[in-house]
Amino acid sequence: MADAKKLLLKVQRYNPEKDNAPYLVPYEIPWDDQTSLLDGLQYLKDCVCPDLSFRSSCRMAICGSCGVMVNCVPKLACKTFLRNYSDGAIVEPLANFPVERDLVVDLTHFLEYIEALKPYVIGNARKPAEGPNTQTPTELARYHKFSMCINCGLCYAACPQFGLNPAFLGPAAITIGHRYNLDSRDHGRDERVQTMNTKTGVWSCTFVGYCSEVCPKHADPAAALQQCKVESALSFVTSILNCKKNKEASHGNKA
Amino acid sequence: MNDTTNHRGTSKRTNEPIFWGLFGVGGMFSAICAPALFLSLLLLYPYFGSGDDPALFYKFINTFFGRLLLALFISLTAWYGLHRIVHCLHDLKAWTAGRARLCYGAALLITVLSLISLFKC
Repeated sequence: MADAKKLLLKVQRYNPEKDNAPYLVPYEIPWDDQTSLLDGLQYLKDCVCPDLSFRSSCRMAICGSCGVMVNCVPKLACKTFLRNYSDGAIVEPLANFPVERDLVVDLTHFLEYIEALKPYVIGNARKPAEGPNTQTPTELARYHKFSMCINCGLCYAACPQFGLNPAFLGPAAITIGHRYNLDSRDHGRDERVQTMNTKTGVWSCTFVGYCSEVCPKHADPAAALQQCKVESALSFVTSILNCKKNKEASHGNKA
Repeated sequence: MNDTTNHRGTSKRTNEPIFWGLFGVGGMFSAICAPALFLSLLLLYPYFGSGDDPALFYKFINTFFGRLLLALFISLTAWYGLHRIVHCLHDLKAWTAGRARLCYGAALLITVLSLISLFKC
């Protein structure tokens, strides 16, 4: 380890009980071609500063816990390799979220929005005794990409609209809701669109597209949001034609 | 920004789909149809098509169909551009009060004027 190459990692530190404001601290990190940023942070916690706080769990881009900003770009620390930052990097907590301590942010908003969009199969009366639901490859393909979301929150850190207005449901929550709307086993679309088709739902999105760029699982939330906008616009026209007041019409397009 | 939902099931309709629809149609028209129309009507048809006469475009514009095309182009691109401006102002946190009314009002005025000229000229 002593002979290893070293790079300079500037890590944002912040202890709300002691510090008035967050500040950057430079640390030297030993690295080789296989060292991830998460390995680097773990090295700091084990050997340099035991009080450094960051979230992590699976170390393989599945759990979505270790999102941080690396040189102002949202990244999963476990999927980011130090070999790509041999000149050093600045590591900060995810943007657009309140910081709790060091690299840990408060994801309450995000989790509440996911919950509000009911990310589970609704209205399927099938009993276990009747066997599993069958689904054709085409039906699966409709939502498969969107089901890749691991709730890491990188898209929220990337979204300028969420930064401007934290009431915006945001890319991941809408993508997850849309994933269930597209699922042939689900019948809960009408319940979800009530929340999705609002000003702070899909209509806060201005299709910047950065959410899809930073998504570590290529779930393409920007595409989900644009599809939701088309559905919301169709729903709007339908509700006008049906003279429904103050209520988005249910779409009824459950192919 | 006015919060129109509490994310707990109640919601209020937003008029955004209307403006987004016009923005989408206008953008499509500007990006795809307009270049093809300009190329064919302003260059290919007058200079290389039958007649070999640049004035053909003006003759075409003097027909009802020509004026309809022009009116559509002017009004749709106005909705497209002004919707973009509304969102840019929102992103810049500028001119919060009345920006939507002003921009969409301008687009509506341009649409009305282009439709009047369609029938008056």
